[in-house]
Formats: sequence, C-alpha cells, structure tokens
Amino acid sequence: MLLKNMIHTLKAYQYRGVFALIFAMSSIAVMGADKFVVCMAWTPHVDFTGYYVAKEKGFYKDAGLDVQIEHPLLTTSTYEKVFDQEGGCDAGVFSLMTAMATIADGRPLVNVFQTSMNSSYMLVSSKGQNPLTQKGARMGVYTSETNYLTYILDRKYNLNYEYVFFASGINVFLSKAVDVASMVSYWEVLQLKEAGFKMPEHTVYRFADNGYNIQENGVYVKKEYYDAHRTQMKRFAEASRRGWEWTAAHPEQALDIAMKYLRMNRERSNRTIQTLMLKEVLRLQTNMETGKREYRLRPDMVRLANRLMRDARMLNRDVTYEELIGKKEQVAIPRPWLTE
Amino acid sequence: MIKKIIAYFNSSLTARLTLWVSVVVVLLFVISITMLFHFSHRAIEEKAFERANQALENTLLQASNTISEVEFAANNTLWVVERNVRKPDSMFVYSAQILKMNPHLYGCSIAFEPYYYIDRGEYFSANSYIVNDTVYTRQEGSAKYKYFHMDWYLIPRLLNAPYWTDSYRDDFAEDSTFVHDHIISYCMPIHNNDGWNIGVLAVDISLSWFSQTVSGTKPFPNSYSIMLGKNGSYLVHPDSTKLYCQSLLTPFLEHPDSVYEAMAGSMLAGESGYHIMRKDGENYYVFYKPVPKTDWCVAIVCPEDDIFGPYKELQTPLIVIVSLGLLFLIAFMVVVIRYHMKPLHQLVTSAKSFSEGRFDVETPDNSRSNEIAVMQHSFAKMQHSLGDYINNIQQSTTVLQKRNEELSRANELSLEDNRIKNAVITHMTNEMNTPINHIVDETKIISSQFKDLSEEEMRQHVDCMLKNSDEVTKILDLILEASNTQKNTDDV
Repeated sequence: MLLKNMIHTLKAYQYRGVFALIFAMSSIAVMGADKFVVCMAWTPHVDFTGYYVAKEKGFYKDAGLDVQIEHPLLTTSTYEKVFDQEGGCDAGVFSLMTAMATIADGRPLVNVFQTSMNSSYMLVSSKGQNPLTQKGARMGVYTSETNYLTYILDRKYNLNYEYVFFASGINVFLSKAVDVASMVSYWEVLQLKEAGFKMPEHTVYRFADNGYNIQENGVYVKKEYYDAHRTQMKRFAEASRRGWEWTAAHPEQALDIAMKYLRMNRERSNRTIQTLMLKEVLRLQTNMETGKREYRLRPDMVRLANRLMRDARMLNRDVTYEELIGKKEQVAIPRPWLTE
Repeated sequence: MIKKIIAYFNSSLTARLTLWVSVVVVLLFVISITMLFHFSHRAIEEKAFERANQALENTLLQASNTISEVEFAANNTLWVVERNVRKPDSMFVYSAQILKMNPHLYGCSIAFEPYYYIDRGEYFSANSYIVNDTVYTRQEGSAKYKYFHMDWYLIPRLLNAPYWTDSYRDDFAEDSTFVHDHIISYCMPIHNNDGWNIGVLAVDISLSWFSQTVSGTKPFPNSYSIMLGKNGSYLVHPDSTKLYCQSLLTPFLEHPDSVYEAMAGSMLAGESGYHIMRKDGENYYVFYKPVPKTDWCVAIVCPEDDIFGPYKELQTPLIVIVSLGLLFLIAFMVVVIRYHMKPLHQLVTSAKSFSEGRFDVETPDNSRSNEIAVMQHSFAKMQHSLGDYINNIQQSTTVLQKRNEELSRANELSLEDNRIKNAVITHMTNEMNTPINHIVDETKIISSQFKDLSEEEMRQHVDCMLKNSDEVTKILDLILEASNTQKNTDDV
C-alpha cells in the first residue's frame, strides 16, 4: 500500500514536472517573441480581418511576433495612437496620402505592408444633386483621418465646401445636417443601402473612376523603429499577407474571426453587412490591371498622389516611393498651410 | 377511352342529364362557396386590420408618451440651463437632477462649444448617468472623447433644432466603470441670450428599455412591434440581438426584393399603410405609421396565420364537407334521375323490341302518375292496339294471301282455260277455216258459174257447201257446248 502510494506520488510529480517544463518553454517562447503593437485605422471592422486572422491563426506567432492589435476610439485617430506619448503603438494603419503628408511634415514613416490597391472614396449628395455642383455645401468628413482627395477636389473646382467633422455613421448624412458626405464604398455606402437610401448615379462621385485612384490603407511604422526592426517588419508583412490570403481563401471562417473581434470590442453589427464589406475590401485589394492581390505600394500611385497633393499645396516636396518603403532618408518640409 | 366515354354520354340521356345537372350544381356551389370565402376573408381581414391598427395606435401612443416625457424633462432642464450659462458648475447639478427626477432616463449631457468656458479648456460637457440607481456625474469631454463630433451634439447644432438621434453606443471604451448600453438621445441646441447656439443638451434613454416599454402591445399571439430609426436600424424589436445592429433591409442586401424594398422605402419615408411581406416561407402583415416629431417609424408585424388561422383552420374541413356534400348530391341525383328515367328506359326497351317485331313483349306497368308514366301507359295501350291491329293485319294478310293464292291459282286456271279456249278456238277456227273456205269457194263457183253449171254439178256444189256447213255447224255446236260447260263450272 505504502509502495503504491509512493509510486502514485512520484508519477504525479513527474507529470507536474513535465507540465511545468512545457509552460516554461511556452513562456520563454512568448517572452522571446518580438512584441509589436499595431493600431488599426478605425474601430473594429472586417476591413482589418486579415490581421485578426493572422493573430488568431498563429501566423504572427509562427513568425516569432507577439502582435497586439489595437483600435482608436470613435473620436480619436490612429495618428494619435502612434505619435502621442500615451499612444503606445509601434505601427498604425494609414492611408497613403496621410503617410505622405506625415512624412513631409517631418515625421518619417515607412510602409511595411500594403493591403489597399484602389481608392474606395466617394462623395455622396444627400440632396439628390451632383456633389461637384454643390458649391459652398456642408461637406461631412470623418475625424479619423484627413480626407485629402476631397480637399484636392475642392481646391481644383473651387467648391468651397464647409467642412463638418463627424465621428461615425450615416446619421449626420441622413438627417441632412450635411449636404454631401465623403464615404468609403466598403462601409458607409453599404450602410446607406441598408437604410434604404437611393443613390442615383449623378449623386455619387467616385474618385477611382475620375483619375484619383490612389491606394489607401497600409501599415506604417516610424522610420527609426523600422531601421531597428527590419527583419521583424519583414516577418510581420509576410504573416499579415498570409492572414489576408487565408481570408480571401476562407471568407466565411475569416468572418467568424472578425465578428469575434467586433463582439470583444462591443461593436454591434450584422453578419450580412460585414460579409458584403469583406467582399468589397477584398475587391479593393485587387490590382484592377493584373487582377491580383499584390500587397505592395505602386510607384505610379505614389507619383500621382505627389502630383495631386503638390498641386493642392498639401506637400512642399515629393515624397518618393523609396522613402515610403524605407530605402531612402526622409526630409521634413512642413505643409504649406501651416506656414501661411 | 375518351371516345368511348363521349360515345357513352352521347347515347345515354341519363348520363348527359346527370352530367349537366352536376356541372351546374357544382358550379353554383363553387361560386357560392368562393363568394362566401371571399367575403368572410374580407370581413376577417377588415377586423384584423382594425385590431392591428388599434394596436399600432397603442404602440404609437406608448412611444409618443415616452418621447413626450423625455422631451418635457429636457425642455424643463434646457430652460434652466439657458438662464444659467454663466455658471458652468451648475451644469453638473442640472444634469444629475434631471436623472434623479426622471428615473427612466439613462443619462444627460450638457455640452458646450470648444473653449466656450475658456478657463475650462477645449472640452466642457457635464455628463450624468445612472448605474444601479446611483447617479454619477463627471466632465466627459477629452482628447479621447471629442463629443462635438458625435451625432448627438453635431446634428442638433447643424440643424439648430431639437433632434432625436438613432441608436448609438456612447463610446467610453477607456472608461471601465460599466458597460454602456446602446442609447437614443433627445438633443436640443442651447442658445445664449443673443440667440447664438453655444452647445447642446442631450437626454439619453436606454435602447433596450425603450424597446421593452414600447413593444408591450400584441394584437395577436405571435405579432410584435418594431420601430425603425431613420437609418432603418431597429429601435424596437422583440429580438434584442437585432437592436441597433440590423435594419429592415439587412436580409435583402445580398438578394434584393423589390416588394420588400418598396415597403421599407414607404416606412422610412414617413408614410402610413400596410404591406404583406414574405419571410422564411410565411406571410406577414406589416402595419406602420410614422412617429411624430421624429424620423422614426413604428410597425406592428402580424403573421398571416394569426389573423387567418381560425379561418384557415375552418377552410379545410369546410372544403372537405362541401366536397363530400357535392359528391353525395351527385350520387343522389344519379339515383333519382335513374329512378325517374327507368320507365323511359323500359319504354325504349319495349320500343326496340316492338321495332324488331316482337309485339308480345309487355311494357312493364308503372304505378306513377307523372308524364313518363302517362307516356308509358299510352305506349302500352298503343302497343296493345298496335299489337291487335298488327295481329288483325297479319290475319288479314294471311287470308289475303290465301285468297291471293287462290286467285293466283284461279288466274292460272283461267289463263289455262283461256289458253285452251284460244287453242280450241284457234283449232276450231282452223277447222272451220277449211269448210268455210270450201263454202266460199263453192259459193264463188256457183255465183260465177251458175249459168253454166248443171243441176248435178250444182247439186254437188251445194252438197259440198252443205257438207262443209255441217262441219262448221258441228264445230260451232262443239264450241257452244264447251262454252255452256265452262259456264256451268263457273257458276258452281
């Protein structure tokens, strides 16, 4: 009996020892992984599904990265999360033009991963008119990120819009508190359809169809961070790409993961609209010329953005493609209107 | 097969009569039942509409009462706020007080334009909220919560008019005090003495509380109330998982339905009415009306089965009963028609037999007194009369036949006699011919040669003439005798 008890006890300790060893090894693995905090462009939505998938499926972990995904609040921006002292984020998802303006402002950024290959921006009139004819109209734009294309258009055609900054949703638009609003095809436009709002063609202006097809969201890190973590950034990009490719191949399962993130952040939405959103996001990730998802910045679009922003006096110098991908030192020249 | 059937119907009066009467009766029944169903359906529908509209009115009243309560509380507070804008700290008191006096309210914010109170910085919004019957108050504006970009602040400011927001989540993600519910807010612009818009007062109610309060009325067991915001999202719905995050049109985003879209469009355009929609294989009646002072729409959704359930339950047994009744009626008609047509059939049989010459076949007796019976009796009489007549005729015919035979025989005899007579006469004539010719010759000789003839010659000629005339006389006597004999035979 005593012998039996001794054997039993020894076995128990043996198992505990094995478990402790496994736990220790895991902790070491986690501790050894490079921590990387990336702030998405906005509150949780399926336009960040690839990143959620990469995290949930362990692609980041496989790449030796401990990636934390954060989101700004409704009335804060990713820029603040990356650049403010309390921000605490190593990287943020920005649009190309925001990144270029930031770089030209003297805050060097490097693009480590690019998802968007097309512009999703549109102007929609709440008054049933052509937005370009509504001079002096109240233009609703989001606070989350500067809407450069709208400003460029405004300056080009002297539209003299009165800008109204709002946090989210389409209520400002539906209540007709604004006459026109800047929207993206993968979110607000779907919300408008869900609200039964009719959008005749003449009331919609699509930037992509009018020579303003410029890439949008990509992941950017500060230049100094990039220089110190080049290898990790490469691994991050590869794992993120894996996440997005898995999403494209398994949209339903990817949507399950994304919906989980929404629920975790108390975002209430419905699967139908998130499905349509994901479909549109994946479409916008496709290079319309090659029909492929390329996950890269396009030099021609960078050149186009430069020209447009400089013509609108939003940049005082060109921000080159090489700068954006970290192959060249970045020079800071403030935005013109800050000195006027 | 069809030809046989057609042939059968063509040949049988009973079948045709049965068919036509059945068709007419069935048609009349079907028309009557259809009209009955139609009018009763309409009556039930009208009653149901009345009931549903009443429930809709009650729901609307409930919603309006809640809305009015909130507006009243907000208006009262606004009055006080506008008279005390110089006392920023008072705003915290007012925002707390409104909640203490109105326990159904969820929260209140009295928010001002950036830097309105310069010493208070860019953000100043006195916010109070209730958690577990305790009122908490704080200054809610910050770099993390720029309230002036939120709908509840922005829209009434831009419209410069009170505004009921659609549902939203008041995002204090950094604040872990409690989990904020989705809310709807009544927001009023705050004006200073010069009439300038300087801020917004917003009073919040919980979306789930609002939904529960408003959705109590049920005109039918499985019916329910819904309320839609301007953006189509559900403000009231029995399924709380649909509140805020789904709209009426969500199920049709991927597969548009023009009928449904028309209904949704009408509802969201602030119209009143009703539509029938189909969902998950069932029909639903949706009665809707706009909610006054808001961009919302309230509706009562009634499953068709609830409205017409008893009616539909009655439908099947009624159809079965009517069908059985019709079948019974048809069968009864067949029996009755056959019963009444039976004498006719018998007549037909009798007539057939009669026409085939079987006059002895009796027509069955019919004790009825209707037209067919009369016809049957008459036919029987006619049959008897005809039978007798035909018998008589037959007898007469027989007699006549006999007589004809006799006459024929007699005729033949007569003909034979005549033939014999003629033969005799011919013979006799021939016999007489010779002596007559002799007589004529002798006469000619005598007449031409009397002067030359001797007495002896004359005598010879006269003797010859006398001899021939005796032969003729004999022949004539024979003829006469034969004639007399024939006459005597005929007389007999």
